[in-house]
Amino acid sequence: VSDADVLPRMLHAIDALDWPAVRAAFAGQVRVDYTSLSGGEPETLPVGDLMARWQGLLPGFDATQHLSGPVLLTDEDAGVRADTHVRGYHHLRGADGGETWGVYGHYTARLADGKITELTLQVFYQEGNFGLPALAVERAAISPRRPAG
Amino acid sequence: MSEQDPAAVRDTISRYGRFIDDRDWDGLASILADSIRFDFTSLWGGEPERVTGIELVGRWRGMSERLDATQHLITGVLPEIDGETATVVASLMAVHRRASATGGPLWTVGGTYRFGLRRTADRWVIDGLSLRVAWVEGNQAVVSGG
Repeated sequence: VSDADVLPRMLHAIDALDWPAVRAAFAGQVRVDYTSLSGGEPETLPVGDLMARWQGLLPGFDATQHLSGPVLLTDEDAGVRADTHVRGYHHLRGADGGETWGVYGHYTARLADGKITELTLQVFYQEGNFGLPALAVERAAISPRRPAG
Repeated sequence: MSEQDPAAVRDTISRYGRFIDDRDWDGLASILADSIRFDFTSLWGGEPERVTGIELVGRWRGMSERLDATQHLITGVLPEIDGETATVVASLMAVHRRASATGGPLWTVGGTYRFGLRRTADRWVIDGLSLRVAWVEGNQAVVSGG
């Protein structure tokens, strides 16, 4: 896998609920920074914890789409920085308050040996139903979506 | 696999979107195989089918001629090449516009394309096309109604 494909490949795997492929994109420890979406602090956690978090959310949507943009690679002392825009669509049919939650922004990842060691989401704007993630967490626990064949 | 193959495969996928949006039907025909596994059941229902390249051009042409414009934004293109064949996963956002449509001028589809391709003497051609829809927004009557 070329460094330029790591982020798009991980995002496709998220949309397909292909957890082994999501896992394979990351190093054992990951620093994640979603503070521009959900507040709090950046954190460093084992990749298994990150998987568990996403597995408790994403299967609760009927579908997600992470539309990535051109990937820009920059060499750094410790590895490679990969940047891309992202438009994340999260869809839940029949949800009160609207079926779609859109998160639009930019991902910056740091890669070492082709694996993501840091992932930062910079949110530009959101639209649609901001209550959708809470509904998805509930639904993921009760009737999660299965990966498409 | 030659070093040029991934770029050539990506080019075919980019051209697919461009030819449709440009209504370049000869161009579109030139990157399609004679026989194509076609699965848009997540959008239109029905069953996966096998269509000829000419038939597929005719379908897209028939839809396009009812519209004022389309834009197929195809991103995150990931080729997997295996000798003379390839598969590609890519993200799609397709905007369809018809100003006169009752109920609004835009219908937008977001989802994941899966292409199959095979190598010919001078290019990679598409012999498989499926779409898994993630979301739809706007007025479907842009393409189907009055």
